[in-house]
Amino acid sequence: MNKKNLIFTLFASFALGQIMPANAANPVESDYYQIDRIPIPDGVVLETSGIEMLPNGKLAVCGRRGNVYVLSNPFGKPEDIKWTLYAEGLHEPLNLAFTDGWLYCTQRGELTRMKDMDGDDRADIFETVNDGWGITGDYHEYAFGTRPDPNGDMWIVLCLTGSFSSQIDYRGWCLRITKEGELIPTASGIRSPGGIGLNHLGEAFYADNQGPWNGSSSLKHIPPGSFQGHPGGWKWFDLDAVKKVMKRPENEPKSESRYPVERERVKELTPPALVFPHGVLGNSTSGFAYDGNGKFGPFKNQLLVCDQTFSVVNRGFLEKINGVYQGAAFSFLKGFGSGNISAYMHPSGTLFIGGTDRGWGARGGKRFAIDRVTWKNKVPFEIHEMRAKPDGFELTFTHEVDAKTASDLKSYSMSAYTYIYQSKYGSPVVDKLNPEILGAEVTGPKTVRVTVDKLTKGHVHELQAKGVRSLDNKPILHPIGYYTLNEIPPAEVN
Amino acid sequence: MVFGLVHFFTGSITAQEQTVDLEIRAKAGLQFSVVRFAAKPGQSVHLNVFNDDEMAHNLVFTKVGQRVAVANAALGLGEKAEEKNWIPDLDSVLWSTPVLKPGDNHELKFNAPKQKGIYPYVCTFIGHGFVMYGAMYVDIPMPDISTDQNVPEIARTGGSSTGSDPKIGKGKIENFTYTVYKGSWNKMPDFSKLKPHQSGKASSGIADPGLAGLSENFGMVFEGEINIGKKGTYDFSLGSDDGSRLYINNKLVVDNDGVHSMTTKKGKIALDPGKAKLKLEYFEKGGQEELALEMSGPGVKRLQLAKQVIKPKKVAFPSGNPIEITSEARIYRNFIEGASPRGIGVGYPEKVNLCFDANTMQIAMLWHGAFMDGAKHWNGRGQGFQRPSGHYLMNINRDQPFAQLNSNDASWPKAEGRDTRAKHYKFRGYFLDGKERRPTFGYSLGGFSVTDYPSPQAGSMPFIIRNINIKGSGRIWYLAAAGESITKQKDLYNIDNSMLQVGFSDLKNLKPIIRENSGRKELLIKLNVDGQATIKQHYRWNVEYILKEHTHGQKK
Repeated sequence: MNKKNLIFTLFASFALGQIMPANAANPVESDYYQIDRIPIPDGVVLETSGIEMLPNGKLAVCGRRGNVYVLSNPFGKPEDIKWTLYAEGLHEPLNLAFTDGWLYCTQRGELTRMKDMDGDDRADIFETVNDGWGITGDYHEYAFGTRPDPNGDMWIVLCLTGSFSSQIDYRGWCLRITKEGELIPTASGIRSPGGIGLNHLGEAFYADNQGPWNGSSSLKHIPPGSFQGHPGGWKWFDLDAVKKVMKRPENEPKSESRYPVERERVKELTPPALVFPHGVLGNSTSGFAYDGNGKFGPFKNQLLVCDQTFSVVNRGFLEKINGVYQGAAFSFLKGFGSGNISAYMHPSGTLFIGGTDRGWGARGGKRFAIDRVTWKNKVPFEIHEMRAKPDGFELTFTHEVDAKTASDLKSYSMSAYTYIYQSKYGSPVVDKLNPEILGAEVTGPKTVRVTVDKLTKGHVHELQAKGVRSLDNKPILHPIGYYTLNEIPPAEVN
Repeated sequence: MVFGLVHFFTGSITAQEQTVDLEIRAKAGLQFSVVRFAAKPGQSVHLNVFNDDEMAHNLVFTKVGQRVAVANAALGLGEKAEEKNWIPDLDSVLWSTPVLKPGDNHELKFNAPKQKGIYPYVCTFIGHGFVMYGAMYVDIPMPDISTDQNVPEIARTGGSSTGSDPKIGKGKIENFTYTVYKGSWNKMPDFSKLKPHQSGKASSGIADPGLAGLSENFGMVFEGEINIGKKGTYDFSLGSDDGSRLYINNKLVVDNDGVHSMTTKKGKIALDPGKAKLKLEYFEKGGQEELALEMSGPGVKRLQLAKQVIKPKKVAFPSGNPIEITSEARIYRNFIEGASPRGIGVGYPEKVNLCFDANTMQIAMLWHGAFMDGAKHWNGRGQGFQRPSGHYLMNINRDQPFAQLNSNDASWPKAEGRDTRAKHYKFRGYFLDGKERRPTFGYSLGGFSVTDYPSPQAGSMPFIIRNINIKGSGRIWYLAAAGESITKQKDLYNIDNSMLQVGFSDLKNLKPIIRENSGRKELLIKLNVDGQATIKQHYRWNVEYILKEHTHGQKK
């Protein structure tokens, strides 16, 4: 650095009060994670909708056109990966799951398992595991499924017939299919899912998209017996199979209300665990994965959640307060090829993301794509966890923080807002508040306790921590946390 | 629908010409646009053959009387058919185009035979030869087309559904010009104040709104002369959608103005022998377009002066993702028109296809030729049901195949709506077998379990043998077919007035019965299953019916 530049840098630091980083090149996502586009062979259209590892070390991928390909050497050089057609003619499959020697997939009308019986790398048996739900032929009638949960059950979410109504059995419901192929009605209130999966504890979460009764896209926890917000499918409470396992809620939700109000009235109503503010973090929440082994960086067990429209992967930290899941969403990675639908994390810490923009459009620009993400073994400076506290939030960072900036109230700002819970499509942002930052106490090398004047139940609390620096003076790579505050934790007993 | 004979009339060849220069187009519904033409012995013939259809076609000239033999030999080519362009190695084949994919064209040049005769031409691509053909007349006068046995039925009758009434003769407007105007009107405009969009002469002598080349928001003025033989009063009948007006010798004879569906009005005028001036005004705002003008009078029964165009409402038929079948069966599970939302399409290399309906465990459709096009479901959000590609589509009663009836006259459980699922059935899926990867479907009903293996049979008219194996024990009925009528013809049963024929092989002690129940006929087999039982049911296309009735393919 020559003298002139040094003077300029000092001046800049002084003038801007360390709001600007001292080093000229701010860290970027690609310093930490590498996204490789896997070339799709000419003539192959794979509108990637499901990704799963096979025991032979090959990667199975399925697409909306009903095809399944097997990719050999999926960790090798992308251009060396070989594709072979494993199956075709499936009805818009939206997940893959390998278990007990079978490759399972959820088609529009059924849960199917397939197998290659004669060793030619092509499936030749397609068994219907369960087809106990209806379809009328509307394109909305998507079905997403999970891998088996610890009990061996696979969870399936079924989109309504369109946005508003359920014209045939179980549209707008979550079902479980047992190992034996039995169907268990599990939750009502689904609108338009974009994906479903299990967290590291085997609990099911699904993505629902902005629309009627959904002010913004979100990720929701599915406790059995819960109501997920859209009453369009309630008529199926009259089915004997439903009566056996759950009851129709005593009260119906009222439109043009708010989640906390309706939760008081409809006790089965489960609020979104993670709201991805519409138009900010995404437009269309879809599939997710998590790193259970800590081999993909510092975010072990956090949910890496796709957005189809934005072609991004967001990150979600979850905690349970008063028995209800909630947490903070952060930007994580952008620059994927197409509209992300499906995510798969290999135990070695390699993330595969695939998708298509067909029907809805996506920023990625490609009609369909599959991307591979690897961690570069460098830990970005990020808000690792954002926990709700009775009077604010506790932030844990991935690196030690610079105590000066981390304890400076000016390093933070907060806004809080929510959405109308209504039968109309979507919602504007409403009830905006600007909680005042009252304190920022560095409570550990990586921990800051931020206190505010007021927390509002049901609101997304958007905390900007743009001024905080790491000990080595790096800014936070994604300095905004969007915390969905369903419950305010009770005062701590010391 | 444009029929071959229209082109024939407009493109007729005179003997003075050095070369017969002709365009023949393969059209939807297994038709050639030109079904016959004349050539002098040895005359040079230059044909430009276009394929406007959604499936492949070829065009093969044969020696006199060899059309059917050549078409049948093509079907016997088996696996070699593709590489040989469906053209058999026979001396009776004279000239041919290769197989033309949709949109392709091919120029065919040859000299007409020196020996006079009627030389057929035919599409030998699978199964088309029965209906898709025509004839070259070498030094033999052509008979009236309505009696010409060398052209397909559809050309003889002018089409069965929308063709012209044979009682109507074709008139001719002489010195015929037309002018096209663009605009949207609710009443006939004053065309003299408008700027013409285009104008031209038409030698056909028939006022045809199709000449405008526009489908809506246009107007036309046709002008010309008609020959009047005898003095007297002439009647004019003018039908149109939307408005029209007819002037004869500058007098308004029929006023059919306004925006309306096809409406016919009449008028009359006294005319002297000689030429009468005709002016016909027409406008089309939107929707369907039709125009029909007939005249009758002393010595003139009915003469057609304007062509009736029935433009079917545009049905968006996305294409562009045909699922092509080569050496293996292929599956297309999706929303298929004619089946429930659980349709499973299967296309076989034998050029026969089916749709199994997993809501009722029944074969819902069978068809020939091209299999399916994925374009409807693979573009945009993919809303809707895609109809099968190909031809000779048979929709089959979808009621469940097996039922345990309480008595001999208990009614069969019916699939009332598209979404109906057969009660107590469980669909088990399918497995793919052998080199051809043909599916065998599995399902169960109570204590019975069934495998259902449709076996495609190649041949001059490919068909399906459905091999059903049912395991269990007890009495159960099998529904082989249902319809308004079931008539036995030798070993086969004709179902309704349709292409569908069913039959059985290896019946052993099983006896199919026809019963009348719930206002329909049912072809049933009662089974006493002790361990297992098998049924081999044939689904065949009734060639006689196709020759007699099949005209438009499945394009309605």
